Amino acid sequence: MSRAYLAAEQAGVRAIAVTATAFMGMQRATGKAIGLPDLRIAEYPGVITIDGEETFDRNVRERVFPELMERIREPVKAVVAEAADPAPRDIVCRGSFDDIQEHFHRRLWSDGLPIVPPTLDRVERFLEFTDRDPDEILGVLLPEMREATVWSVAVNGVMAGCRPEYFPILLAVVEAVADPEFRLLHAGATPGWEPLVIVSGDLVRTLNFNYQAGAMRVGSQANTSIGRFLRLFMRNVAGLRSFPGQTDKGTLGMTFNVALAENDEAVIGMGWQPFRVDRGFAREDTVVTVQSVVAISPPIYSGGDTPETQLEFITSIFGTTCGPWTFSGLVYGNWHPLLVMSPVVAKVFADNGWTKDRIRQHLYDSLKIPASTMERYFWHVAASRWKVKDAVLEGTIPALYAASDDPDRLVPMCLKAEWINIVLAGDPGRNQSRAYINNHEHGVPVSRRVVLPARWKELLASAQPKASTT
Amino acid sequence: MHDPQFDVVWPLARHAQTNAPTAGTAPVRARAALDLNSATVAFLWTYNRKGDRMYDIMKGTLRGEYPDIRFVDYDAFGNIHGASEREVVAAIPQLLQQHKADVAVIGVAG
Repeated sequence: MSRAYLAAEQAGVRAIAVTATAFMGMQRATGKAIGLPDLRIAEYPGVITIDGEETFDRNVRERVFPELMERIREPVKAVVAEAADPAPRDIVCRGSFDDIQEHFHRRLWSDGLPIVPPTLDRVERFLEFTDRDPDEILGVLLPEMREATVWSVAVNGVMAGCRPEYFPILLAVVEAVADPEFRLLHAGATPGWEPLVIVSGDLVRTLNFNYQAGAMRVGSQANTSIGRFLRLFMRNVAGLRSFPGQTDKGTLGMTFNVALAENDEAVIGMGWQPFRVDRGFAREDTVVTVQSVVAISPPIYSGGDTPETQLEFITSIFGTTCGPWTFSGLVYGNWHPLLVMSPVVAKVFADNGWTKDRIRQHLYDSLKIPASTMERYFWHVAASRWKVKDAVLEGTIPALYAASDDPDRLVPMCLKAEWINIVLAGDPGRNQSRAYINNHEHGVPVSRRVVLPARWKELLASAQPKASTT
Repeated sequence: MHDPQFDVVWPLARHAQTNAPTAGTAPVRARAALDLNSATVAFLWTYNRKGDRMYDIMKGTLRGEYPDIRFVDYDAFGNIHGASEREVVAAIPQLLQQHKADVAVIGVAG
């Protein structure tokens, strides 16, 4: 909405935003971030989706409309932008470890955990691990419209506790989320989704990612610090600050995801192609994919030595995790759920001649939901009168979704079989999977190849741990 | 014992020069108070949160007070929070100018 507001103002038209009370802080913070510190707002006093018609009409007549008139009638003051930002190498704070922590916490530059102080020498050590110019702009990140530079990636990588040799991966992560297709600006939406970094390729082993038991737990330095990095980067450079009155309106939100590393030996060993090849890259590449996660299934245990028995609960629990939120995929024409399988589960399929495509097709064919359930759920989410048929008429989804007028007709939960992703990770000795559901067009999977510097082997050798155990 | 001292750099990044205002510029120009008797009010909508009902109430009240007021309905713009958000927002300046709008009511966040 702020961008529509800005577009109107830039056209010389007086804009007034209509905003419910709980979103006033976010509107003002976003407005300030894009150069509109005096956003004109007519406030709706309450929760629109909860209020009945009588209350709603009264609030509009007695509260919203008078404020709207006031905002229309008052003269518009010119807005002048604030002073320039610090230069990259400027020292913004000097102090002890505790002083630095306090300085960063107070300014919302941290995530609540202690950060590694981003000193010039630490940042410069990271920069050795790329051949790119520190000032190169990887993208402009909304909502604060800041420039994601190679330098800013290094600073936040230091803060997150990454090792310098992770830097090529961090750059690929930021390139992925800076792609407009990823729609990072919506990471502050009320569903409260989190990005998930998936790493596929030789660097998984080179950099000691954990892809086996406890792969998605905090613990491994590579998985954990890279996951933490992305959340810090979103906070500091995109401006998605999760604190009341700031730009992040996740109602409850989720904690950051550690990076998910694919078990290359397992997937190649059973004759399947690795995830990076599914994503259109070469087997010899290391590829980073970033997608949103808005829901994670409970552990899905699947027994037996046939695909049919394995799928019994994979299918049903996958479907219940998608649930009525599937409507959002239809509204926006994007839906990319991810199935993470432990290798022993995948091997049952592979041994019986099943490919990943066949599993995808099975899930697509099996997962159905009544159209009325999704329409009703959208009403709960946003007081919308949207119908599945509307999305068909708009050309967002195929005609089969409006094949009949029966409001309870069953329609596919997944828009395209090929949009269901499959990655192997987890304890190779246990028969478990999990579904990770992305948030429609917010955070669609975007992949980037990791580019190593010319001196990679030499740099890597110099980066080996030096800690003594004595 | 003295604690080690750290000189640290800024973890944010500068605002993009192409979109955000630079220091000293004015993205919002000063304008005088508006006479609604001859004004055109455009309604832009996220297509949810009862905005259609809200705008009907607003339009009815405005029309009662200012018989010559003109409106541009949200359908002239499309859903500012839908699948085509980027294209819809990009077209707003031109459409507002085309309809000679004086005011843009933009809702609904909630």
